[in-house]
Amino acid sequence: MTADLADLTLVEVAEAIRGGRLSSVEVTRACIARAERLQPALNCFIAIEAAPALAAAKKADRALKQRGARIGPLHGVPLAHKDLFYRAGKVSTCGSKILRDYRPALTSTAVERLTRAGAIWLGSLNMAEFAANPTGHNDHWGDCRNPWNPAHMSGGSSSGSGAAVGGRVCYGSLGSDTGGSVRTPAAACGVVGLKPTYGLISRHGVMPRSWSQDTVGPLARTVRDCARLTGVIAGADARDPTCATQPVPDYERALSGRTKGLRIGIPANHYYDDATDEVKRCMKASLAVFRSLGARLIRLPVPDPAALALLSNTITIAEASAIHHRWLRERPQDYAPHIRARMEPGFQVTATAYLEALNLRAHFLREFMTAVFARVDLLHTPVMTLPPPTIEETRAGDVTAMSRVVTRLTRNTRPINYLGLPALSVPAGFSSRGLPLAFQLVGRPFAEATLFRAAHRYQMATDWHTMAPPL
Amino acid sequence: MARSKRQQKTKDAAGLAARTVGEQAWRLHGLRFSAARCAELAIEAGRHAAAIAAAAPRLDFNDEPARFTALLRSAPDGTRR
Repeated sequence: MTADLADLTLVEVAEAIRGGRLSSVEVTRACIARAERLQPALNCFIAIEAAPALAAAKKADRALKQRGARIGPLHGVPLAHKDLFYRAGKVSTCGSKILRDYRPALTSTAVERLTRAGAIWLGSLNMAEFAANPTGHNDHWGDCRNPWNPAHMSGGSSSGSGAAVGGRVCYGSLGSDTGGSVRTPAAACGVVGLKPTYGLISRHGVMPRSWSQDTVGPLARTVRDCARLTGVIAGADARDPTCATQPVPDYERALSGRTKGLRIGIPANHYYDDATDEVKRCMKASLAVFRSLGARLIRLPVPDPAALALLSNTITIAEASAIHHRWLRERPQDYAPHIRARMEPGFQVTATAYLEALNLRAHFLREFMTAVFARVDLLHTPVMTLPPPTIEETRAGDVTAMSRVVTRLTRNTRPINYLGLPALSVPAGFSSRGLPLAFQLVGRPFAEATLFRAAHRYQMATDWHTMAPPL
Repeated sequence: MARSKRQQKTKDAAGLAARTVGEQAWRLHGLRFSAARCAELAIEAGRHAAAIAAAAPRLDFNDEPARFTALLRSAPDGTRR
């Protein structure tokens, strides 16, 4: 890909194709070339589908000539997705050895909607095995690497999504987030990532990790790009009974709103306990930007997130062990040891404890709404309390060491999954070693438009999202 | 002396918990774990049980799991879902 094409955002590329200034073939060919060039360094793909992508791009260019302006908002734009979004008859490995040749009979709703909007499928992206790891390690398909420094972790479990978008190999990507799996790689790779409200986006045709907390969310270079992708994939789906049925707002239009008077909460407990000085400085600087935009910053205590993280994990491991029970019994050797170790504790969770953890969600959501959202419109926290560590630093030594790594990387993201709230990860600077740092904005249920508006105003006032990794 | 008795009691309890984990994993789930792994799993199970126990006073039997989704959808933002 030429530097010019790589520098364009998803919305810019979509508009250039719509306006005839670029062809989909030209853009797709450039993405394929860049993907093939960077794959040895980043390992962000499980499969690059060059020929089908080019064929689809040619078809898109022909359709544009025939239909003119009557095309979708992603017409001809190359995207690539975490390899757990099913397409009927196509292999979906879920990052595993067990499903190496799995060809589902159905197509995920999110992919169907992207295709209907005109997007091109460039390939399937690397991910943590069965979405069960926040680092980007994968024993079967190789570790995914950070585009800002390949010695560092990409974050996970949507590791390939973070690395591919951060490496400017494609213009956007779908990931899934059960404990931080969109936000962590987005933060580590310097891109924007949305964990939507539970129920906003259909999970039909997506390999589950923990169905009570799983969400599907986009990663892209800018907030506007994420808003466009969300607008395309959100909304009711009869095939996912957890999907809400309200009309989807025009998220892009909502970006033009103001932030003056917006009340942004800064948590007085938990979220900074473990933070490095660099992260603290970065958060302070990002808050100063919001203040300069007219937001009111309010420091407040939040209901104990550590307890919420443990309850969330109780649900995750119980549901994951049920999903994987048969394979764990019959093919334990086909799991990476560190992934198997994350599934096994689920068998020790009693039915009573599992149901109590589920029942408590309503109480804690009510408590959070009263303690936090009665006072502020958004909560601002670091996504991670440290810059992205190296791959070696996060390699699972023994079970205890791995558990520590997972807990530290997800301590700020996992509580939000328990509460089902929306959260947006936004790039906010770099560490002294040149690795991305990010904050997350957490909002009221279904308040994605408010998250997008605030984060978009932040991006208008800063240029972190315009910086490209040295690739 | 008293201290070492207490330590022994704790060690016995941990050993019993680990054995229970191993036996249940095999009997209920058909999974075999090493003794060391059983000990790790028993500790982790204890952490989760403690989290539930700490939150238990907030349990309301009316809060069935579906109540959570209903609450998310009815949270104040001016629209019905």
